[in-house]
Amino acid sequence: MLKGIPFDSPLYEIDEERGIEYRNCKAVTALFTIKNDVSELIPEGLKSLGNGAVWVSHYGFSTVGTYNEYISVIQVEDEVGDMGYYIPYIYVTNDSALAAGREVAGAPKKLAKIELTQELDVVQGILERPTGKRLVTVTMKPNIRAKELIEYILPKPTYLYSVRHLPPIKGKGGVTQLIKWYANVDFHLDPSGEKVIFSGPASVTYDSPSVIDPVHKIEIGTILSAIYFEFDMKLGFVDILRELR
Amino acid sequence: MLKGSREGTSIPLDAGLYGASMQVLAKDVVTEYINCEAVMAFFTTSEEVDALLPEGLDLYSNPPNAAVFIANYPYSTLGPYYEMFSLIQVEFNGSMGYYIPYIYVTNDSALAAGREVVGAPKKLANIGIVKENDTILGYLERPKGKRLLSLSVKPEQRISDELIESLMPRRLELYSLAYCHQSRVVMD
Repeated sequence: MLKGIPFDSPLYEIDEERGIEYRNCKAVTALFTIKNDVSELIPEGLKSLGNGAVWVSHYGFSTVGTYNEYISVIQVEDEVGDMGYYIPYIYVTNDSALAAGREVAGAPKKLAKIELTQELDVVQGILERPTGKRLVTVTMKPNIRAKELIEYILPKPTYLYSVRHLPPIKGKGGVTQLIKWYANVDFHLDPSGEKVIFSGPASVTYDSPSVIDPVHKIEIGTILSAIYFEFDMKLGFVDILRELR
Repeated sequence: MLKGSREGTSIPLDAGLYGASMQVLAKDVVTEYINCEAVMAFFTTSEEVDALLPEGLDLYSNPPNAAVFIANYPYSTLGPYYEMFSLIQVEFNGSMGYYIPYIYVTNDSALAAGREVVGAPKKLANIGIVKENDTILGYLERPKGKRLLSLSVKPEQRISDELIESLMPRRLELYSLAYCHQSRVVMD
């Protein structure tokens, strides 16, 4: 087991074989072309493939608690040719998820206000930090079955990359590493046996840009696909790809 | 690390959760607090707390001394937040200090900085200080509504400088257990 401090009552415990497990989740995600040069956001060892995505999700149950999450990703290729997503920005609503993500995988999580709601014919995901400072709004109308796109957007496994950085104390003890991890998404089936994955028209806006939380650095070109889906998931760790300086 | 952007001391490296992102302008990498208030209680406790200590630290006295502390930091370079921690008085290399087995905060910057830099085992919780009539009440709840600690104080007289210096010298040595996962987990 990977345990976070305090060791006699850990903030998180991760079964190394099973990973972090999620049940009864829902998410909206939009994949888009990136309009600007984002190479400065990416660490050595990864190459941008030119697309990005935003993800807003609600996890009804997980082994690090119930929470909401927002993720910005850049689609990349690593040095062995695997396609995946580098995570420059990620936000959660739960301390266990925050600490486990930062300390084990290097996911640069912060706390924020994140909501995934349905109103009228629209699914909406929002990110605010602090509350009232709207950084991102994702709206989509899930009106078309989208199963043919899913192997491209969320293959199994979906590789994820992040930079784990624990600062040194007076020059001792720090680490900076490129971490490769993965998500295995299992889509829910509806009563007719079809996966609950819908696509439809979507918009992604950076409503009120902030230098403190610069998610707007990944500029949105053309939206290639947007999907709403319901699922279970496992997160696990692949390897430390390299030590960075 | 990153191919280009301005880098801070914590992830995300271009917009760190804590630490000065423009270190050349910072006089030193320290966390500063202004206008804080706290309630605190010192007490003797059972020798069983020795089991909570890491190797290298010993109980300072018999019976052991411990403390609980609840503070409001209205301004800090990590943002405003409340904090609660438990302390066990310890001895390390002949000097008195305090080990922190449990600590809670209300702010993500403080949580991450504490855990990642010095190993303070911080969790988020509902923490507050309430002043009512002649009493100041500090409390800790996790989750909200599950009361873990109530510390009520009636501040009726000044405390001597000598007592404060003996319990909390100006340079207070604090200890915590920094830990870095080295496990490599291979997917099947």
